Amino acid sequence: MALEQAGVPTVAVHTHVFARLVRSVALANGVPTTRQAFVPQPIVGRSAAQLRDSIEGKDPISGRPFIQEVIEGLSAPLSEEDLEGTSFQRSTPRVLEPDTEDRVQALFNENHWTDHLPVILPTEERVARMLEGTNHAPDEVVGKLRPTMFREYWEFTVEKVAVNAVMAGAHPEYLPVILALAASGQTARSSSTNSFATFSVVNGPIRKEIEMGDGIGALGPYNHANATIGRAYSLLSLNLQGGSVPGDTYMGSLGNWYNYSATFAEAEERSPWTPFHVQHGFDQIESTASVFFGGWYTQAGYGPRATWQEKFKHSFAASEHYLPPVIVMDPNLVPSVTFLILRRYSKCDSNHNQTIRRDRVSRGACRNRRQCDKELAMRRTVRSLSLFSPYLSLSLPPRRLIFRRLLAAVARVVLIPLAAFAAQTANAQLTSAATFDIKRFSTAGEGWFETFYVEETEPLQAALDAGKVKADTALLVTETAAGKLALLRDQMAYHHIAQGTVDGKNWMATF
Amino acid sequence: MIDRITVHDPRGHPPKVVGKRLAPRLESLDGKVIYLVDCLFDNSAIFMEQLQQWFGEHLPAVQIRNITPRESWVDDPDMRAVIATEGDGAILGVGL
Repeated sequence: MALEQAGVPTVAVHTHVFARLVRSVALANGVPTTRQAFVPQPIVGRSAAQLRDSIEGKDPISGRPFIQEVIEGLSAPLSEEDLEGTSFQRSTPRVLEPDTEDRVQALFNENHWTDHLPVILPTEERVARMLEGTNHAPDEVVGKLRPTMFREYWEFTVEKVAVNAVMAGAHPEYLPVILALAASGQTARSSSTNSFATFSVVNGPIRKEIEMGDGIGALGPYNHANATIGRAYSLLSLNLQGGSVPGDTYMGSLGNWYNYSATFAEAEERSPWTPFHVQHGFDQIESTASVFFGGWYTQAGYGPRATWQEKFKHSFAASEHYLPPVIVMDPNLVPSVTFLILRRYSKCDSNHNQTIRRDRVSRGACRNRRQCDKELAMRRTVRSLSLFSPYLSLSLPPRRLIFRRLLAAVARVVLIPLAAFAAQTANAQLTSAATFDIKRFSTAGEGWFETFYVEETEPLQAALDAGKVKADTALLVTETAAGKLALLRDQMAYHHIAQGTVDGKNWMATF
Repeated sequence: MIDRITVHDPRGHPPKVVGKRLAPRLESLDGKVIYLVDCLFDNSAIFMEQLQQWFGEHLPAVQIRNITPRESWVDDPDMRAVIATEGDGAILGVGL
């Protein structure tokens, strides 16, 4: 749209499953007839020849040749409708037409206003009772939400939040927490192929006052406050942002169970860690809600045949370094894990002039400024949002609890320490290509993978003798011009790309 | 008599939609500079390479230039400025 507004005729190419979404986004942007062309999904995993077939084939939506759609999209004259655009006012009523309870339940379900489980219907009496949980006016604007960065924001009031809280089965005394979550501006029903979810953690005195669960089953369906606050956050996100409907306002490939309900309290009294909200500048007697966005993997199981260290390694091997993991664990395990985290937590400083990762052999200047910039920006974002809370007093319940908003993208970043070493052998028959240019590979994973620069190596036997590696440690062995080079499998599972020089010969390995 | 109930509408308030005009279309693509914008999704670069080859084989009078934004999912005003200044049209693509 920005290019069109700059006077550049544009055709956007999509895969066919996005057809409905594209139309609705265009309409919401005031353009009823944008020029689009569609190819069959997927694009991922297709060969060049297969993609060429799509280009020379038919647009699966219009049934006309794809390339014709592209060319005409750039050169066919505009219609009157194109030239005028579409302006209109949308509105949603405060209450619906009276009907039977069964019909209203069906209406809510058919309109995708629920999570497809039965809801408590938000009658005027129930909503009025819910509003007793806050002293903020029903018509006060709380904030706005949208399912993705490409959609328009929808606005909502305290009353609208209360309506969704009723539907979730929440009690009025939960409303301050639900309002704080709504005010975060972070949807719990985002739309991404990745099927992201949002979960929230409550800290401070209100946890106890509303009897939230922070013990056995805290993350499961075993506590009324946890279950209904999380569900309310999900339902309000769905309804107050303009929907979360597959093919239209939701495009997650598999979906995510965390989208139903994912809210719990931190077990502050039993944890050796400083409470999360205190770490972010709040007083322990203040109540906060923290929102975490992401959610791909859940690592389960801690059986008699697996140590927590092994579980940790597996978990972090599956984590992306640009979306650091959030760790939620039983307080009983925390002391030993905390030791690991404090000993090995590392990062580049803000000037990029000090690399203090202990899992690297390299020393000196940062080699990946771009990634570090992202991580630093993320940390700054967390900090600034902790301090800047425009809705600090939004949810001042009668008992004078101060409720604050805290949006956190990352809780703790943990990098498993591993060392690289080389196994030099007498077999040095291989030679590197004369044209090999190591710089050509150094940016292969830029922005995605952090290249592991190996600047020191040592014989495998020496590493074994020194206890740097155990006899059963998993290794990846590759041939180099100077012989065989061994890399720790777990380390490569994190970096994916490694490079270095052995005896004057450059080498590069990917995993 | 059937009991009827009145309930609240659970939806938020959408913004007003303000109409926007499309850019004027080209009379012909001959001699025009068309940018192929690789949106950086997996395989989209190969798709754009194939599209570029198609134009080279079938419409060689069209000047095709490939361009990529700074990074995925983020608007790149500098890239847009290049297209607006040096290009006559653009083809964007393609997602998953």
